[in-house]
Formats: sequence, structure tokens, C-alpha cells
Amino acid sequence: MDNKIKIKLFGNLSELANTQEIWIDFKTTFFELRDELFLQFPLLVNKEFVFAINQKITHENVIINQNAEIALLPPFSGG
Amino acid sequence: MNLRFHRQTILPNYGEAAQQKLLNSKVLVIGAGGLGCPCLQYLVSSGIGLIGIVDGDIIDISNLQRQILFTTNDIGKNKAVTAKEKLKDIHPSTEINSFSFFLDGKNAKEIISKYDVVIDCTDNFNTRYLINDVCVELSKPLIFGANYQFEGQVAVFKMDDAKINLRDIFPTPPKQAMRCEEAGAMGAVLGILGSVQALETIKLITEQQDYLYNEMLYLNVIKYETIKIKISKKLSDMRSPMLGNTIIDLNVEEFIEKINNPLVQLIDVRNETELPKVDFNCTQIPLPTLKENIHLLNKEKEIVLFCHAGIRSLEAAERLQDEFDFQQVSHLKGGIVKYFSMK
Repeated sequence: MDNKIKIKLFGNLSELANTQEIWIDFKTTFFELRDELFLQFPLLVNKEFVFAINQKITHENVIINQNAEIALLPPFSGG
Repeated sequence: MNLRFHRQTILPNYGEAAQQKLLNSKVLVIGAGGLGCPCLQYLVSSGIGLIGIVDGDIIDISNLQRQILFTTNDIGKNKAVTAKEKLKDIHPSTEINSFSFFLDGKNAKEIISKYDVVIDCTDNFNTRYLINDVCVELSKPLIFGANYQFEGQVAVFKMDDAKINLRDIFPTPPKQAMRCEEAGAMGAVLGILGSVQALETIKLITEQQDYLYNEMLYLNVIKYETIKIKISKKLSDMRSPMLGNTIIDLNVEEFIEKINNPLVQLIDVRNETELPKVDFNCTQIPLPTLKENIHLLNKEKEIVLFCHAGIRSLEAAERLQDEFDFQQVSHLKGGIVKYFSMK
């Protein structure tokens, strides 16, 4: 898809969005991409999860490549 | 040669020396439920020397579908005591201690201190964070495992130098996660996860090169997708973007990384006449003039503030977040004095 980036969802997030992956408009920085995600999927706002960008948990603003692997990881507690 | 362990000692990178390490090891399994039952079976059969089992819970009929050490006749009995009973004949030389009560703030340290490795097979965040924090304090390697429906997480926190731990992923106990009563749980899925926890424990004890060292494995068994996440130290009191704003204290090393980073705007909040002058590019906005110069700050960038000793920069950071709604704000702890003394 042109100018879109894939975001993988895990746990209850995929249930919420009713899909295991979503596509949003590509943005070049993490914070812009995060804003775009919340704009397009407001149901993710205030949900508990962390962003993994290229298999690394990311909290700070970083530059994103369009082929970056992005996943939203919620906490699990079942045992 | 020990025939009992022959098949695992002929594996590459295992052998008699590795087996001896297992026989000498002491492992604590907290929670004898869906994760704990399969994990315990593999640990005992592999020849772990001493195993502790902590669980204050009573076996219920709804547990039997996934807690595979227990049978219909065990309903109403304590899980730790019953698990010990079932496991003792697998490898009679393995010493098993059962603790028929829940881990809590009063008993956690004393119990955990007696073991080499701790396996978190519990089902609630309060106990998970208690285990995590005690393991951090006592430098005990922790094997974390958790389930949500057809997905799971397993992580190994070795608690060496940086003491990377659960709080580097989720700084405070999450509130929203559903328990298995509401979310559901499949025995075979917990079996996979409990086995992965046992395997990672064995790899850790036998000092294998490859294991989930400071990594978290996310596994989805519907599509068999995995993602392995590297966990790094979370900067001081920085919190996840979901949990509200917090000002980040930067040490000198972290501060130096911010210099010349195109995503960062460095702000000197000292007065123009103050010394020493800095040897890098930054914007000067003396604290008293913050409001009238707010347009000089770029909201798209991470704002890194500094002053002489770190007092005014902290005040400026608080004002940027509270009054002007900046999200990503940090400051140099100890100020430019510290920077020049360490550089």
C-alpha cells in the first residue's frame, strides 16, 4: 500500500480493533505516527500497551522508516 | 553415565557438566496453575536439584482443564501440596518444598532468597510486580510467563548489571488486563508457555549462549506468529506515553546523546551572562522569559533543558508540561556543572 504503514496488534487490542493488523498513513517520526494512530483508531487511546518498533520497545521520539515493523504490545497476566 | 538423563546429555552443548548444573540448582516456581503445572513437570524430570512451589490456592473443578497435575479427586486440596505429591515420583532425588500460602510482601524476600532462579507462573499483576521487585532487590534471575487467550509472553530477566525487569516494559502494574475467568484459557496454550518457561530456565542454568536474555517473546498460536522484543533500561522515572507525562532526568551520558540529535531541541535556561559557555548548539531562553519565548520551542521535538545545577531546568520542564502542554521534556540532572566535570 502506498504511503501506508502496517501496525500489528496483540492481545485485547486486536479484539478491540477486530483485526490483527491495521494500516495507517505513514509518518516519519514516532510521535507523529502515534498521533495518526490515535486519530484513526480513537478506541486505542488510553489503552495500556507499549510500542515495539523493529522489535525494540520504544518510548522516545525516533525516525521511522516505511518498512519498520511496528507492534502494539499490551500486558498479559493470565497464568 | 546417568541413564536417566542420557537423552538430554547427548544433545549439543549439554552433556554431563550441564547436567551437574541442573542437579545442583535451586528453582522457585510461584503459582502451580496453568503455567506452573507443565513447567514443574519438565523441571523435575530434567533433574533440577531443589524445587520450591508456592501457591495458596485450592483446586477447583474449573482448574482441571488446564492445570494438568491435578485430577478430579484433588478438588478442594491445596495446589502446592498436591503438586509436590504428584511430582515426587518423577525424579525422587529432586527435593521439593511446598508453600501452601500465597506469596506476599511479608514472606516474599525470605522465600525467594533461598533459590537461584525464580519462575513467575502467577495470574495477577500484584503478585507479578511483587516477585519482580524482590528479584530486582535480591538480583535473582526471573523467568516471566503470562497468557492471554491464544497468545503468550515469556521473558527472561537475568538481573545482571542493568537489572532490566518488568518495570522497564510496563513501569506500573497495568489495570486493564482481564483475568482468565473473563478472558478464557486453553490448557494446551498454557502448556506451551509453561514449557517455554521451563526450557528457558534450563538454558539459563546450563549457561547456554542463546536464550531470551532481557527479551520478551510474544507468541500467537492461532497463526503461529512470534515477535521477540528487546528490552532496554527505561530512563529513570520515564513513563510510557499512555500513562501521562513525567519529566525525565538525564545523566551526563544520556545528555551527550541528545546533543546534535535532529529530533531534539536543547534549551539553556540560564541568563545570557552565566558561565561556563557551552561547546554545543542550543537555544538560550532564560527561565524568567520562558513565557514570552515559548514560540521558540518546537513541539514536534523532544525538549531537553539544562541550567547551572539542574534546579531551574526542572522548574522549566514542569512549566512546559503543565502550562504549555509539552509531552516529551527532559532535563540534565546536576546541570552544566556536572556536564563539564564528567566530560
